[in-house]
Amino acid sequence: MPAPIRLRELIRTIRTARTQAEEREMIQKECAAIRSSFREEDNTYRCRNVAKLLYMHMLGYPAHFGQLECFKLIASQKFTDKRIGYLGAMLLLDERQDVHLLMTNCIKNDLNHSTQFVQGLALCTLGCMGSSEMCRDLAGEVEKLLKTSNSYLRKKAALCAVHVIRKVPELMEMFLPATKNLLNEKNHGVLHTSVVLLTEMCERSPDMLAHFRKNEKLVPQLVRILKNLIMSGYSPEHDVSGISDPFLQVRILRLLRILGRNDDDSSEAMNDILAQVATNTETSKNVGNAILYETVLTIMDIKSESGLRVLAINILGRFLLNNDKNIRYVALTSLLKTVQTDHNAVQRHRSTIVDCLKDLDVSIKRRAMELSFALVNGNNIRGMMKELLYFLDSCEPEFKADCASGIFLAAEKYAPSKRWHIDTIMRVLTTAGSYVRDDAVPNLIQLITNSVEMHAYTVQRLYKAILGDYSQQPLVQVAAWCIGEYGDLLVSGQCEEEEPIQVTEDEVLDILESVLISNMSTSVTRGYALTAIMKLSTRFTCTVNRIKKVVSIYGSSIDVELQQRAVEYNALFKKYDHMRSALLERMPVMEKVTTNGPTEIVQTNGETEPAPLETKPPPSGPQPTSQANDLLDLLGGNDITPVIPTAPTSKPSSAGGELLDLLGDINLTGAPAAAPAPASVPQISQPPFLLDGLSSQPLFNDIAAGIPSITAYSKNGLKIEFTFERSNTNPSVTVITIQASNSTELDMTDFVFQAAVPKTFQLQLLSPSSSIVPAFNTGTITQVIKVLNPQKQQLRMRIKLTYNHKGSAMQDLAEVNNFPPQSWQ
Amino acid sequence: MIKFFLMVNKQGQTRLSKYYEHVDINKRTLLETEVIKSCLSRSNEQCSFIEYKDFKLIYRQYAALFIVVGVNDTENEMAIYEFIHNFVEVLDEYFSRVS
Repeated sequence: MPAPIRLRELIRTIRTARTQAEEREMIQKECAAIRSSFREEDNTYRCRNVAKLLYMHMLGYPAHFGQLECFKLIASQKFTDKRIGYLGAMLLLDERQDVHLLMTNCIKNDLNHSTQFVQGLALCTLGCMGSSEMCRDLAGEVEKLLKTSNSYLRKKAALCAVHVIRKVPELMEMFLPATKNLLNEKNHGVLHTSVVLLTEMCERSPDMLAHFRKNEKLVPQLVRILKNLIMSGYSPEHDVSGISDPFLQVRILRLLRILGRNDDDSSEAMNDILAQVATNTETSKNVGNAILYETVLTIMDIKSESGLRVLAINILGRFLLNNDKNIRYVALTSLLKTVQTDHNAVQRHRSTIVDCLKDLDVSIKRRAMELSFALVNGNNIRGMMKELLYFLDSCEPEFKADCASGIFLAAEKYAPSKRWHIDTIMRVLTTAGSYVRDDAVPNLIQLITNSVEMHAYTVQRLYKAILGDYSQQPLVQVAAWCIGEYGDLLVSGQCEEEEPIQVTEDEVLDILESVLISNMSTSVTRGYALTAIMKLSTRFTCTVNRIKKVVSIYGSSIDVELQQRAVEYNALFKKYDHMRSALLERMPVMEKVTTNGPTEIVQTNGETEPAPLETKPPPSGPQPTSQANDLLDLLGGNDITPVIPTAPTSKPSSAGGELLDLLGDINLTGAPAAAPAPASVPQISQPPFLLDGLSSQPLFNDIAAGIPSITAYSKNGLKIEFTFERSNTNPSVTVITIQASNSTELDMTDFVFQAAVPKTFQLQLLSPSSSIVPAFNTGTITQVIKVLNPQKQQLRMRIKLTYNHKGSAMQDLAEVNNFPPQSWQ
Repeated sequence: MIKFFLMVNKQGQTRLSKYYEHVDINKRTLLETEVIKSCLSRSNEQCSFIEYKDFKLIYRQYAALFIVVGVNDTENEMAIYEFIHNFVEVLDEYFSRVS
């Protein structure tokens, strides 16, 4: 059988292959030859064959049949055989294969070999692929070698020890005595590997760390070594571009960082040397910059004095101005890490950072963007936002989503004015509309509702935006919602902030219809558009028929959601036309759910079902009283709350009942998934815990013991009595039922009862039973008030009564102070 | 900590590879092709550090050969960059032509 080809020949042959298939063929042929050669147990060429096998393994072809051959090579006495054998073991074997344990004995013998190179080989292999069992068995040998005077062996033993510690952390103590003298060596190889070993030990075990800080006086030793490196002159063996052994310097700096973290003494001991390194290192070459970078990281991490920190940040600032991309990237990364702690210092470099946004490199742009968001504050928001919006325009798509959400957050926190805020959001929606996250739409809608004075301006701008292009879904959704709400402002052409545009009702409906029809609109967007068209039926005057037509067309739409909406709206037109205006009134200002819960808009559907006497237990959890409630602000000190139910007062209960039938199986209590449901009767926003309707029956299943009722007001023949109910499970809610009776000879008509409570309370007034108090005490008006009193303060109330009596309008204000203690304690 | 060290040519053929953590053999070729693809797509003005999955890649190009080192987060990128150059210098000294 001819001698197997040498490795070089094989490599050359494989390189000539022009296709993957050709290469595979060549390799398979060679593998077959190698396999037959192995079977023949040929000692002379085994080493060559295994070398070729290793090359093929590196290219990605399976080579497991060579594993046993490696053992044979290791066992041989020739050094060349051993060398290839160990290399093969390192590459082909790992602890997953069972055969690796066979190596333990071989390695053990070789660790005690007479030749240092063989010992070195064994150490290398153990350090590369030793499993935990092997490490446990051989750790003693390694430790012995760590103490020899042979520096070649010492350095390899140190690295092997690192691997042993990684695999079997319990053996760390075993190496501790050997480390005492490690740093006294002159040989840089040993120094370097010892520093690696010490770093590994300190990182893994806080006890070791404490030990090294106190007992070993490690920091002074390291400082001394570092000083020697910097101060010593040119030494040819360690020189890299004019700096002496930069790799060792970097390692030492890293170890110093670990030692100095959270430790004042150590940090103090290294202040000087760090300043020295920072100032003396030459920065013209990349090497110097690498050392400076490590120094900066160390300074920022330990408890350094402020002068040193400023020096570090200035170095980073210098890096930012450097032409080399790598250095700029590295500077931006470190600034990002330090911006939390040294905010002001980083602010000084803000303009350079913002310039980096325009860089061509993707990694730099990403870092610059993150850093810019971290630097935004109230002072620089306008300038920064301009830059960020420009960036949003021109950046790659993978950035747009993050950038958009970052801009929203920053705008929310630091917006100088509502108009600016709305402008910014609109700009984001128009430039990166399709990348905006889903929760941005409800947030934006909520923001718009809250800025009452900007409604006309907002709707005008939104209208102009979607006139051109209605493919970006979030933008279209917001625009549709706004047009639906404020369409009348749009058509009437009143807008203070901008030049008002002339829009007719038909044009508005045109655009909404095209959104509905367009293929680009998602189902959600279509829902928004349809609801908007419906709302416009109350705000527009001449196009109601057109709206009716549109709505009826969609009654047979394939999309179930659209169909449902259209059918209901149709019913609204046909059977419940009298309720339509009430139902489709302007949305009230919405609360923002400030808890960590879902960011859905809290809907105000509470009041639609006065009739059913269902007892809805007040939901406990997510209504913290810290939640800002607009109602509370409205109540102020003693403002009168205009809590007049706007449902037609002729038949409140039955209207509610019909409404109930109409709404059928829509979920009345929760917030609907998409845009505001048509079912919300616009009361002033109430926290949804007060969901119950009118009732004269006890509202709680577990009422507290009877609380005496009081006469709150008695004057001019009008008497108002309060009866109380409290629940044991939710004692902060008090339900007061008022009864108004009239002892005069004439009825009191148009009776309206209003109440206000101090700021620490919350009040909810439900619809009264009627507005006429019949004469001669023949009947009463009943109305339910619910008071939330979380701080258990004394109840006080100011009431205002207006009514018509004997042909004249009467009005009276009174304070009610005689609440019984059981009603609020 | 260095996770792997690759020398790959422009066509994507691996010339040298050493993995310091176990990676399955079929995953290796996949990793190598992806890595070389991201390195090849960078132009000269871009920086040599790429973020790839949970590694950082530091690469340097020498003629038709790319040397790529994959590290984890704790490593100083610039020091590795120097290290690559040092390695190539050693190879150059030891062997006459490296390709």
